[in-house]
Amino acid sequence: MRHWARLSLVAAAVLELGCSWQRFDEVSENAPIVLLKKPNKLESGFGVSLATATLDDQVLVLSTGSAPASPGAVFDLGPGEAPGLDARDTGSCDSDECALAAQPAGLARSRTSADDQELCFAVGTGTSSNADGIVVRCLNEVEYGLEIPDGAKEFVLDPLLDGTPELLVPLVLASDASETPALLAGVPFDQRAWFYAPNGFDFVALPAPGDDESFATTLAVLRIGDDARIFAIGAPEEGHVWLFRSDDGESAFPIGCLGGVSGFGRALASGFVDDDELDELLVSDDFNVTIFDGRSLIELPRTESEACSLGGLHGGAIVTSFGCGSNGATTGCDEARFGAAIAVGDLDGDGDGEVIVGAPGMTVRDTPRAGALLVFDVEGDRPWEFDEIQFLSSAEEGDQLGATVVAPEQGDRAVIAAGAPGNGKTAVFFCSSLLPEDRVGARCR
Amino acid sequence: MFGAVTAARMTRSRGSLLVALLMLALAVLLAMSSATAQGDSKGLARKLELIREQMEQGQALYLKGDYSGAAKTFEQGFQHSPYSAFLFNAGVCYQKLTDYENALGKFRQYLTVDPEAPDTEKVRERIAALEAALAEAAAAEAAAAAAADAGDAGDAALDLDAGDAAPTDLDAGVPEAGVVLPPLGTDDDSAMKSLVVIETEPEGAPLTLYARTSDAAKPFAVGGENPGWQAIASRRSPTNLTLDVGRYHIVVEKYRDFNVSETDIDVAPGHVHHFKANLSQGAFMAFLRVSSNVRGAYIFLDDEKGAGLPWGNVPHGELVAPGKHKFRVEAPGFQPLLDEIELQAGEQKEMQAKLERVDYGFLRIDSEAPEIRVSLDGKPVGGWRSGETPLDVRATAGQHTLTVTGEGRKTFNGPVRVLGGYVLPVRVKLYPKYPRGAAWTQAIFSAAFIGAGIYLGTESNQLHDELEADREAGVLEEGDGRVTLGRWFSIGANASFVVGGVLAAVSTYNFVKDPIPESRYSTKEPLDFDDPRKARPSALVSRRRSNRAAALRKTPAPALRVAPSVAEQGGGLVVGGSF
Repeated sequence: MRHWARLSLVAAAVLELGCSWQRFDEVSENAPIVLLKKPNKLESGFGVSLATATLDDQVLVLSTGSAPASPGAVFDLGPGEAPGLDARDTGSCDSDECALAAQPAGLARSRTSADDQELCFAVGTGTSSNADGIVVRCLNEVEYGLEIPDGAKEFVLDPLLDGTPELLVPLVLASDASETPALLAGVPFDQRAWFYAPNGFDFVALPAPGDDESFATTLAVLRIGDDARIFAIGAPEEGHVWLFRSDDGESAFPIGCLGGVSGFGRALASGFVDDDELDELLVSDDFNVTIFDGRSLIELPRTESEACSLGGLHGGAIVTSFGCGSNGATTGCDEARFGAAIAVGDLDGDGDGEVIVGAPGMTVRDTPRAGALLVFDVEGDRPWEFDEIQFLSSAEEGDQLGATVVAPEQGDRAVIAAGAPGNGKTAVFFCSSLLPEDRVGARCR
Repeated sequence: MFGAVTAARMTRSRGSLLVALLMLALAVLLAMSSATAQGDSKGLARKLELIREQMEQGQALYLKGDYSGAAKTFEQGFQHSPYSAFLFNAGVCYQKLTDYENALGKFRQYLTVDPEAPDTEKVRERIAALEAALAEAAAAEAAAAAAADAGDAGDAALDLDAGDAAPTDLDAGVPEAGVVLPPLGTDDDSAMKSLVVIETEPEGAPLTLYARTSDAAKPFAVGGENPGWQAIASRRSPTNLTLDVGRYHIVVEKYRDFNVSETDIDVAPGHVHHFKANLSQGAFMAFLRVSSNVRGAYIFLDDEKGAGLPWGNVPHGELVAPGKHKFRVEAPGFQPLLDEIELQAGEQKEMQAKLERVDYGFLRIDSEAPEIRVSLDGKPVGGWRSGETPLDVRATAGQHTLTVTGEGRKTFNGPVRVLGGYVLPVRVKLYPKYPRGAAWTQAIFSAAFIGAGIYLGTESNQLHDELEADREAGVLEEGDGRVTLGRWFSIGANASFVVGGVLAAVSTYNFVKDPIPESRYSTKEPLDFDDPRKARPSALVSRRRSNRAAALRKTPAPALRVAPSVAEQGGGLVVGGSF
């Protein structure tokens, strides 16, 4: 009997010493990163494009498949660290009468012809009950349409209506991060762009400058006042970024063209990088990301010049410019496609925004093209140096994390949502090493 | 000699060749005659030795008071060797038993067998006394019967008056119970008569035997008056006499060309004495008898190394020439005894050789196992296979450690005591080893499971460490595949540890478990050493075995064995071979 008792003790010791499987639950519980569950409807990819809309405690992220055929799925991250991993709404552009935009846009508040709506996404083009044009779908599943210029319909709407979707040109959309954002739309092949003023229902066309064929491939909206906006429209093949300003939402005028290096305008983003309540413009080229101070851009005068350079900017207009970097876990900056996507968010809650740059071609832990996100605080003596690199712990080859990225606001701080379209993933990064100790939540301990 | 001279005259006229042939034939005849005489002498010695043994056996029983046994022994002795001494001694024994009927019968037969015995008068007196006693007993019996018939219930006394005694009736039989025979003298320990055999060389010589009638008599002198000496018998040799205990003197008269020979003899009770006079030497031969505590021991006379034929086996007595003699007594398992003796003419001498056992012995080992190998005190001493004669292992007397191994059987290792001068039959029972196949299988699986547990546990720990590091770096995602993998590794490790542990415990139990008893050995009664002069010489066998053991060690014989194997789990056949 004593032998059996001893044997039991030894067995217990082995079990205890050996391997408690519960520790894996403990270590993975409230992990810093969560993967949003891909709805079955999204058959052609997931995380191909992202958009976000935040209103009070509702922090929405729209993740889509490949345009124009795929629908999008809306997830509610909520106010804390317990995001809804299952899609809240999978009806975005979920019909044959809707063509998904190449880049959707979030609208915290919007206005239809009849009433105000909250937490909506401009998801593509198609037919709606009130109008054919840009399809806006809200969290309450209300869909409405925004008129689009007739010339654009040929590319973004008529093929859909005519039953020739293969001829569709996916629309590109962008909005600012305000509660009542302006919506900017562009059709790359049509070299056409227009915008909708905050709470505006009618489009305002922007003049197409010059002969940039890739005009309107990328878009960004900068907040410079209640209704005043600067619209940045990229023509990356030409390396140009065209700037338009609207002070009243009813008209806009050009204020210049930035450019000069190859791939300039490959990705555009806006946000509060500093604390002057004016959005900065972030532009990536083939190698770097350059931050243009919003205040400096406001000072740009109306111009009819079609010359694209940085010469017109005054000193201090460029906040900083930085390129790819790596650490022990990430390598391969040459193939990283650094700057494929850019987002600005106040990750550390200090009032100014950090810049998150996607590098989808980066090698992570010897996994090629797993992709990574480089976070720049853009503060201190060396603002061009990255502060941390985020990646997926279970990175797989070809994930291409960082092909698209947004920074949803969650209370007084922001989190990162990034797409890894290569393997159909959308990840939310809750933690940052920049977070002060008193703001670190359970996921970040 | 006369014959030889005649032959010589005849040969002169016919040639020297014929003479030579005749001489050769004569020499052969003489040699054969001599050999026959020698053979007769040996035969007589052996016969006398048998007589002597029976005589001494009867005497011993008599001295112990076992008169009945002594009487039977003497009677048997007479049946084998019809010498009158046996009859007389048997009669004395019966007389001691108050079996007067049988006593009378033996004494009367004694007179019939040896009517010229020197003591015939004394025996007749003894017979008469016995007859008288029997008559008295018969009369007393008759009186008692008459008194009973007369209804006299008074004090009936046994009337032993001689006038009322019934006539002597030798056929009256043994007196009935309750009849008391009168006492008949007292036969003491020296009452037994001895057989005295007297020979001469050549035979036919007249001899006279004198008995000393007075202890104060002077030594006998041939031709003298010899007061205190009385001639009791005159015979021609060879002859035998049945004599009382006492001193006698034998005188072989002048015969042919030989002079007188004489010798004193002392007759002991219940013995056989053998005298022989070599008339050509004019002296009696001495008689030497050797006995020993080891019956059958070999006696070598004047052969110190014992290389020739033995003189005899203990007990053995024979006439030998007077003078100094060396004798060696040896027996298998005993230290040889060497001694020297000087014998006078006519002297009868008995030597007692006390042999000590040697300080080594043999273990005679075999087994029920088909083949065994044997070590003693850790040193290999040989092997044994079924069907062979047992293995003899020589060792010094005392305790040794015996180790016996057999293929597929439990090794025996234990103490064994070697008895000096003995062969100890040892039968080793080697029990089969308990099959450990299941235990080994369980142990292997246990090791495999524990090894797998260690591997899985290590992998699990590594994954956990990686996940923790990732968590600290803020890059750990929920649903990381390593979490599930690590969890399964942990579960697998624990399951492996549990299964491995259980198997290890079961394996250990099955290694320890052994329902089969340990090998052991049993011994039989120790045997004497084999007699190298007989069938199975121990030393030769031992040497042969040593050689064979060496050969076994060098080249094991090819063998293919098929043996049944029985285990708790079932049974089967085990095939094994050695080539």
